[in-house]
Amino acid sequence: MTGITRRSFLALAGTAGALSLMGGCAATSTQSARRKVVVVGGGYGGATAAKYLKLFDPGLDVTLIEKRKTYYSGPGSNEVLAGWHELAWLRRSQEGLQKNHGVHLIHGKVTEIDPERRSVELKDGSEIPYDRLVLSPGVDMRFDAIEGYNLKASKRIPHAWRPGKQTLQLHNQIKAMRNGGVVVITAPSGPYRCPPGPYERASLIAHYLKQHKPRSKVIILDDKTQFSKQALFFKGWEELYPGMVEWVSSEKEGKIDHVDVKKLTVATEFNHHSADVLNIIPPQKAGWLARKAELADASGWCPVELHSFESTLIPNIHVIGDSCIATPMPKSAFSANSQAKICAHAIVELFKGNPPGPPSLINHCYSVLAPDYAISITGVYEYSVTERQLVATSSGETPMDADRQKEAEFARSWRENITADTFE
Amino acid sequence: MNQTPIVLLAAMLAMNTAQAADPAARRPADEILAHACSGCHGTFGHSSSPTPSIAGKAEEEFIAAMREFKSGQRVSSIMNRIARGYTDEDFVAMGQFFKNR
Ligand SMILES: Cc1cc2nc3c(=O)[nH]c(=O)nc-3n(C[C@H](O)[C@H](O)[C@H](O)COP(=O)(O)OP(=O)(O)OC[C@H]3O[C@@H](n4cnc5c(N)ncnc54)[C@H](O)[C@@H]3O)c2cc1C
Ligand code: HEC
Repeated sequence: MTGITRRSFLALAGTAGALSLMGGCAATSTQSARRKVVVVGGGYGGATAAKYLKLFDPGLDVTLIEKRKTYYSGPGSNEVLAGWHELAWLRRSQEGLQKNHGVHLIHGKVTEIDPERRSVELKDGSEIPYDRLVLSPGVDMRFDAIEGYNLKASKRIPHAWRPGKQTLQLHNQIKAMRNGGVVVITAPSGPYRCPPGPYERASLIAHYLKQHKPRSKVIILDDKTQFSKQALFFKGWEELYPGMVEWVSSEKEGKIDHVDVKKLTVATEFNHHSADVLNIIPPQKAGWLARKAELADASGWCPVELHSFESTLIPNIHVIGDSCIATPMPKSAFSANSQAKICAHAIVELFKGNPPGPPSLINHCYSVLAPDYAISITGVYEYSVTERQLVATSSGETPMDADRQKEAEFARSWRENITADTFE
Repeated sequence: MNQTPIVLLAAMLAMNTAQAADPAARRPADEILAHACSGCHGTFGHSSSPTPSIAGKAEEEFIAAMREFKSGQRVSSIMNRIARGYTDEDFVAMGQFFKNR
């Protein structure tokens, strides 16, 4: 009850807060001091936000706080799973942002946000004040969604949906599997990071199996009845891995019901599957910090105003990347990077007393099916006043007859360019 | 009856092939449009190959390329899909942004 009251109060305060900044009284009181922006989360969203805040206004005081010593990239992580690269290949460092752009970098975990005093608290007890706060904390797994699959179970049966050690663990399990074994992947429903990711993963595991354990196969048990780039994936599997990848729709077998991580079995509503290697990709929700700070709504994700990505629940806090609701944009590194720029630009405008202008965003997700075979999906987005949400002004998939090898080259090129655009 | 209004209307409709979500609303600022491209083309359009750099591209060349991508006259499995999301006015704005980089 108190939660609701507090929220609706804050929602009102949110509008008032933004207006007061534009109106000038808040602006004049801190005009002489350097404006402070704190960014939490040094992934694709947060790192891009920190960099572009400094590009748009070098006079800002920007602090980036990241809890992990090493950040591993999601894009490319299925290739590590397939054994194409070492895990270190996914490492990204935020240090370039400090060297090249003057962003203050702090390694530490933010444990509290105090929206009234406008400060964040770190695990070591230190406090950092902000004029505006940007959160890009990524996703958390819903460990209460599938019976039998919780945090403890994920130590044995990795989801590998947050790249890092689990990526290697899953790779090693596949490597140790017998020839003729079955890898079962469960794909979630509801919003989750990287919608085509489970199918790219199935493809690249098939690529590994075809070379090393050719009598084996991959089964995807889907909690959905359709998926991203479906026709293109089907064509790719037929061409590259005939008979090796099987997709099971929930239309056929019903929802995923429960998992036994010791026996390596998955029960759907109407069937039962045994695996040699099991990869559960659970449903997801906004990162812990965003939910703890009451920035998420009942859906588990954070509603934002789409010209600025400012929370509609708490003023002066912006949420970008996987954690925010930016329908119909998918949750991806590309989206997070694009949203971060809109957010950074809006913050600079708000500090100047201007309302943020209309946004324009892009998402483009490549999926690699083999070293010389990639497909992609695109969306160009802007804000629709009538629909009061983002809408795609263009969207589309790789044409059926397009050159897949060229797309694979562009996919590699994209990874280099977005890494530089985000972290350097 | 005088046909002029219909002809005019038809001409206006033809001009308005723009894919804008709200034709009446203000377009996004130049740099807002342009920075979305840097996910693929690099910050300020400075790309590492094989994606072409678009920084410093002559304005007319830039606009012509975008129009050809949009119409499909120039075939690119990626850029055809991207260019269709923008208006002619956007191409001019982005052309000005990238020419001086
Ligand atoms: C297998 C796989 C493949 C993918 N492939 C692609 C792809 O090809 N293309 C694409 O565009 N996307 C891809 N993605 C998706 C992409 O990785 C994510 O969408 C992207 O990382 C989202 O960025 P983010 O900033 O929202 O979150 P993240 O990148 O997860 O960053 C969040 C950061 O915040 C930090 N953090 C969280 N809480 C705190 C706290 N309290 N204090 C301090 N720091 C904190 C975390 O440590 C983390 O570093 C893929 C994902 C996976 C799993
Ligand atoms: C998903 C990645 C991607 C995005 C996003 C993207 N581009 Fe491209 N662009 C490419 C690729 C790849 C090419 C090379 C075309 C080809 O050969 O198919 C290209 C080519 C071009 C060219 C032609 C360059 C030349 O020298 O011939 C222009 C101009 C261009 N893009 C502009 C843009 C603009 C403006 C945007 C943003 C609105 C944008 N691009 C967004 C990938 C992208």
